[in-house]
Amino acid sequence: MADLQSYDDETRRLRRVLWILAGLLIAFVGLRIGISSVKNDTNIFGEWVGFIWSRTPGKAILVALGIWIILRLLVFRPGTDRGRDNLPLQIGFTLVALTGYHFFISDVVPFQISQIGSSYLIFFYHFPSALNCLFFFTLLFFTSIAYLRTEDPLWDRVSRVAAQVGVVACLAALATGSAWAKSAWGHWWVWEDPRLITTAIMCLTYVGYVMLQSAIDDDYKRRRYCAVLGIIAFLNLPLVNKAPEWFGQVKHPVQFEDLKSDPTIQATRWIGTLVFLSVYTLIFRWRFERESVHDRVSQTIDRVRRIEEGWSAS
Amino acid sequence: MKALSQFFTLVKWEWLRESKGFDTVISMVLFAAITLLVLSFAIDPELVSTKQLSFLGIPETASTAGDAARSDDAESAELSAKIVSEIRYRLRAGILWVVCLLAGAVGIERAFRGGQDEKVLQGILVSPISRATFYHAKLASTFLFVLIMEVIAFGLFLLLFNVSLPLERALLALLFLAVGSLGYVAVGTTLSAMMRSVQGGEVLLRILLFPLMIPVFAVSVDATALLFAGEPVSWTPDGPGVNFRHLGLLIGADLLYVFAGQILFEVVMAEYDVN
Repeated sequence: MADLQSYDDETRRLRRVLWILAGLLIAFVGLRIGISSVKNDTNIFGEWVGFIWSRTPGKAILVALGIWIILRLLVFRPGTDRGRDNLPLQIGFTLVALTGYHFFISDVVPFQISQIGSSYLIFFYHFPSALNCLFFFTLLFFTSIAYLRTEDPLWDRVSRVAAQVGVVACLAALATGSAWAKSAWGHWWVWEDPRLITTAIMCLTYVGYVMLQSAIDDDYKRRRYCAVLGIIAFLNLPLVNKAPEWFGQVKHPVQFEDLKSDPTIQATRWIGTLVFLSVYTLIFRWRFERESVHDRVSQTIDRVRRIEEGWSAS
Repeated sequence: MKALSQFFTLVKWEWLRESKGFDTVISMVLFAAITLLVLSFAIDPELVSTKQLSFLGIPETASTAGDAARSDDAESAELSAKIVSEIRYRLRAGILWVVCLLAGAVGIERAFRGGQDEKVLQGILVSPISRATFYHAKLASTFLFVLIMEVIAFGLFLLLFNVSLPLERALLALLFLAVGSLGYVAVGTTLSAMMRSVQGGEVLLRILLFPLMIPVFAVSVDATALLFAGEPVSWTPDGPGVNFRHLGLLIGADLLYVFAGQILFEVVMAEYDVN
């Protein structure tokens, strides 16, 4: 009973905090629209964000706030009712955050930068997807180790879903990257960019992981083997990250000075990473629910089969 | 010491089993030979010529215009000849490595499948031989078979693609082949142990193995192409041509793969543990 009480209290508190945050975001958007309609000057907010971001405490506070929101409020607790309860909250938050993020892209960051013009705006979808895909694959690595250490099926389920979501994020990053390459270089696929190739290879590795998950019937074997593969496949990740430096020809746009130096762009893309983390966490939760149900059903079927076998044997 | 003698016993046993008919080696060599033949029909490295480069605006030979223009043209003609030779040697090196990867996968797949009874495996696993020793013996024997295949395939490749190499360069290329395929076989052995009881495991093995080998593959193709092109060989990290960085990267990757492979092999084989 005491647990239930504290659970209710906490939920109420969380909801209050979330409403305050959503209100703040809406207020920001309203303020921005108001300012621009009065002054007809598009970069005040951008300068303001850049001002905060270019100072270390401001950067730290923004990032810490974002991570706190994601971890404390939005990441569900697997296997508890509470996880199901705050789903509407996360959907609401994600929608509001996505709206705010689009406002950032359309109004806050410079419309075009030197060398590549305005086509760089797609990076604000590309970069968060790529980083989130790395995040989910790293998560998969650690949950694989956790599974091998504890043999708790929960970790297997988490890594299975992480692989699926990571592949989706990776495909999104590849698609947006290709679209940009088409506009900037004239080709959908450019073999001179090592990071593009290594990312595609990484994507294939994890598609193989997802295939392996469905190829083995024996649950015990499947979990073990997939954990092993999750660890082996992780060996590729440093390569993906370091490919532009290791293989001489750098074509990936990480080199453009404007992308590195402008604090507004920096702030926006990291905020975007958090927003997209929320989006992909939503997909994660949806898949996780489905996989939990699937596991429970298959366990029940197994149990029934074993009971029937026991009956027929006796 | 005991582990060492167990290791050699296991390798010898594998060799004896293989030497009954050399099934694995022969199937690998045949596969490599057929792939080489098919590739020699499909890809002709000599087709790349300075003529094609002249379509791209790079002059074929030096023109007879004024002095400044002539030296300019001579320079770009030299450049185009260099590009052509680089493309040719890179194509050859790529063909060699693709063949070795594809044929090596045949041998790796048979490490735990070809004629290997599940009961034999269980017998070894319940014997006092440690899993690590078993893994290293399996790795060594598979590596040996793959190496035999690579030597033969390399000879065939030299014949079919008209590569004339001095002996020490050929030996160096073989060294790169060996060092490159060690990591390949190390990961492959673990994956093969995983895939032995999986339906459609042969395909999955390749799908999972090839992407993992890209770093090793890229470095080895680079080094082999430089060797074929007659670039200088130096044993320092920053020397021109083939330098020690290539070999160092490969050896580092090998150590990583063997280490990871051994640990994960023990994990894979834990299903036979008596609880």
